[in-house]
Amino acid sequence: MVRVLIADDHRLFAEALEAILATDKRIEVAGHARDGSEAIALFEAVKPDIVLMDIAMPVMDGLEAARKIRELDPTACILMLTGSNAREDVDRARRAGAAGYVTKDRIAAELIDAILEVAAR
Amino acid sequence: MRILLVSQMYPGPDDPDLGVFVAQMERALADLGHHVDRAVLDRRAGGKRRYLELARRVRAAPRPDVVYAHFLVPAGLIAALGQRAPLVLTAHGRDVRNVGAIPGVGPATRLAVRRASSVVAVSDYLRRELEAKVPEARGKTEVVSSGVDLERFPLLARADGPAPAFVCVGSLTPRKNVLRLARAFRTLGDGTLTFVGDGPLRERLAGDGIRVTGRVPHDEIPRYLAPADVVCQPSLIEPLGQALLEALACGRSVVATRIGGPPEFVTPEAGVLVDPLDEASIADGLRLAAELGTPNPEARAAAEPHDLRLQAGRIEAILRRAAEGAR
Repeated sequence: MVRVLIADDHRLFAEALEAILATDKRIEVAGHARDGSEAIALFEAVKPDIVLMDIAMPVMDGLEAARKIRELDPTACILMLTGSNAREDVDRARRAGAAGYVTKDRIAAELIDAILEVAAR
Repeated sequence: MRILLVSQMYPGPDDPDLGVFVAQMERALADLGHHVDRAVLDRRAGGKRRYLELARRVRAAPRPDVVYAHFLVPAGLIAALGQRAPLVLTAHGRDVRNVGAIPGVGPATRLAVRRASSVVAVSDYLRRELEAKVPEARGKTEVVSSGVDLERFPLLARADGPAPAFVCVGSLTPRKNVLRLARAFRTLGDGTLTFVGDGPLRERLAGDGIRVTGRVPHDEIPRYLAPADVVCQPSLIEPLGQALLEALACGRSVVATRIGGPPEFVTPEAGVLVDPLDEASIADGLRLAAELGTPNPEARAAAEPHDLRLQAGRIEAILRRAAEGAR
């Protein structure tokens, strides 16, 4: 079972994403953070296998949160959720230590495979 | 085509009136020879946990050629995240009104719309509202009404009964403006007014020539229209006006709100458009519409462009374009 922490400030999106992930028996949603700071706290509390991290969030953005989580645990697996596959977003995600990224409009096609692939590394 | 129909509203045993417009379009698409699988919710009860069930049904469905989802959020969002096939969304009204009114709906709607190949709005009024609130919908939104089944809602002879007989079909809620309609009717001092529906305002309506039937299965609506002269829907806002289309199809003149979709199909010969905030305007509308005659062939003519089969043909073309665009 791959335990996933969702970090996204859009409640409806996060709830819908959780509902979709809950349909896959190989995945368990371990928590939901509404900003980067909460994502760090929840990461330490629930120790997920993977963090799904939105880039644009209040209080602390996803890139900063990813960097801090990787400082706390260099083996942490983070998948960034981006609004687009703009080169700049992808480069920033990689520099922040993300293992990969999925654009939000490709979630149905790619997210579960990406979670399982990153978890298996 | 293999179509996956996704909707948070669909008629079920406990709620036979829920999303009847979705079910009728499903039947019309099946009649055109398409295989339609269904991931729907067919009851009002159940709270947010229902959406987990909807997500499960979306994910468990056989892979379709195209996903046809009704309501932008949550059903459209769940369809966008849960199925990888091309997606066509239909906006019905409240889903668009919720953008900007309920926190989080805006970003969720924008994501679902971005993911969609096409968006259908049930009226041009709704298309304009959607495109103003969700720029991602611009250039991919088409107007197709939910349609009216002209066979199930035939031109009806006037059944015996008191005249003028006014009928209002719909939920008894503030948006439907039923209290103002009742007050306007009372100023006429003549005729009857029947509310076919149920809702929180029910207790404040009955009496003085006004009757409330409670909720009625969709198939039985023509039986309540037969003894009517005029069907009234002076709602504060009506994105399309499904009950008006059904009344027009039966040859009943209408009193309709001028806010929303009704001005797009209520001709002067078929009915009267009123200011929903003005009781005198509604009362004048009732008087004028009662003079249009029953049955009113011009009313039927106003409904005919919205024939369900015509609308299903247009939806079929949109779905096919989305499905073929993915190949």
